[in-house]
Amino acid sequence: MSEEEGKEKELRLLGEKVNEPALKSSVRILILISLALNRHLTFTDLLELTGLGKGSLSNHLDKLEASGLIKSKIIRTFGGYRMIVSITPKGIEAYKGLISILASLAKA
Amino acid sequence: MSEEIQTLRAVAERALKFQQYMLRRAWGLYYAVWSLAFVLWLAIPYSISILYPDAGFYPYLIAYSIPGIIGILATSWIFSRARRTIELRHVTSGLQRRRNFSLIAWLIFFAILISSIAFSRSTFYFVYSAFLMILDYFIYKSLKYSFPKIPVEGYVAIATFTSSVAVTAISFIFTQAYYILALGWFPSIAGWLFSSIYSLYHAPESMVE
Repeated sequence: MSEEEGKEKELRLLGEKVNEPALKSSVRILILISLALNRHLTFTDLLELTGLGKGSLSNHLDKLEASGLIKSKIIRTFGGYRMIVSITPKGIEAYKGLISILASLAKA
Repeated sequence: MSEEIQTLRAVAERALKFQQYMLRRAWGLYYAVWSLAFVLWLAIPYSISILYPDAGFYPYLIAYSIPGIIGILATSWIFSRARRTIELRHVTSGLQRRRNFSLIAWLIFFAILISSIAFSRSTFYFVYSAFLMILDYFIYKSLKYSFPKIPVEGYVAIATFTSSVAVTAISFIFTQAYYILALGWFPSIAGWLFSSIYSLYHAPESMVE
């Protein structure tokens, strides 16, 4: 098993701990944390954050949205149409769960 | 510490790295909003006093309040992001969370500032100058908490604001002349405008560093 696969396995276990199947990926956790800190980000911001391609990012966002952790909408701006992704109250709760695990185990 | 926690910590640290970019952009907008507020605070009351000498109290109240309210909304927006980032940084680094200068402390200070109007003019000027000095220190501490190292534009903003606060305090003590007070705020207007442009332009570098 490669190091990356090992990490993904560990995160799957973590996702189970916070009782959220959508959070069994380091990319989706990264997206959730950044959205929790900023409350909403554009699709372009998320491309910069993750370094993924558009299709791959869309797949991750679809999974998070299907779980009710985030929501997205298209808005019209001066520069054209933009996708804005926001965190939901459920997403904030999941983030708090992750952080409380991190905080409690860091103290231990 | 289990591996899953180490992995989560690594993901959180990556999010914090990205946050430096987001915060630098947010601070850029913050500088722009306050730079505009400084201009409006100087220009609108002066224009009212020239165009409508008998305007009374309320036009001035509106002229001072609207830029202030917009500025406070911008401040609350950026500091809520900064506060959440600091909380996460403390969790990942295992540091104790420091106590912030709370909302209640600000409200008490605003109450003292407003009530000091009822006393002598010199009392109000003294309290107002003290308020600006505390605000200056608060901006410095917020910059320090927002970034591992304060960016160049942050130092420019602090330096120009400090000079404006110093001129304001000195002009209150010695002359109380409006034009000296107005001139004293020009470095802040120029400095914060520069900081805004500089931070928005250089923000992407935060992700590369």
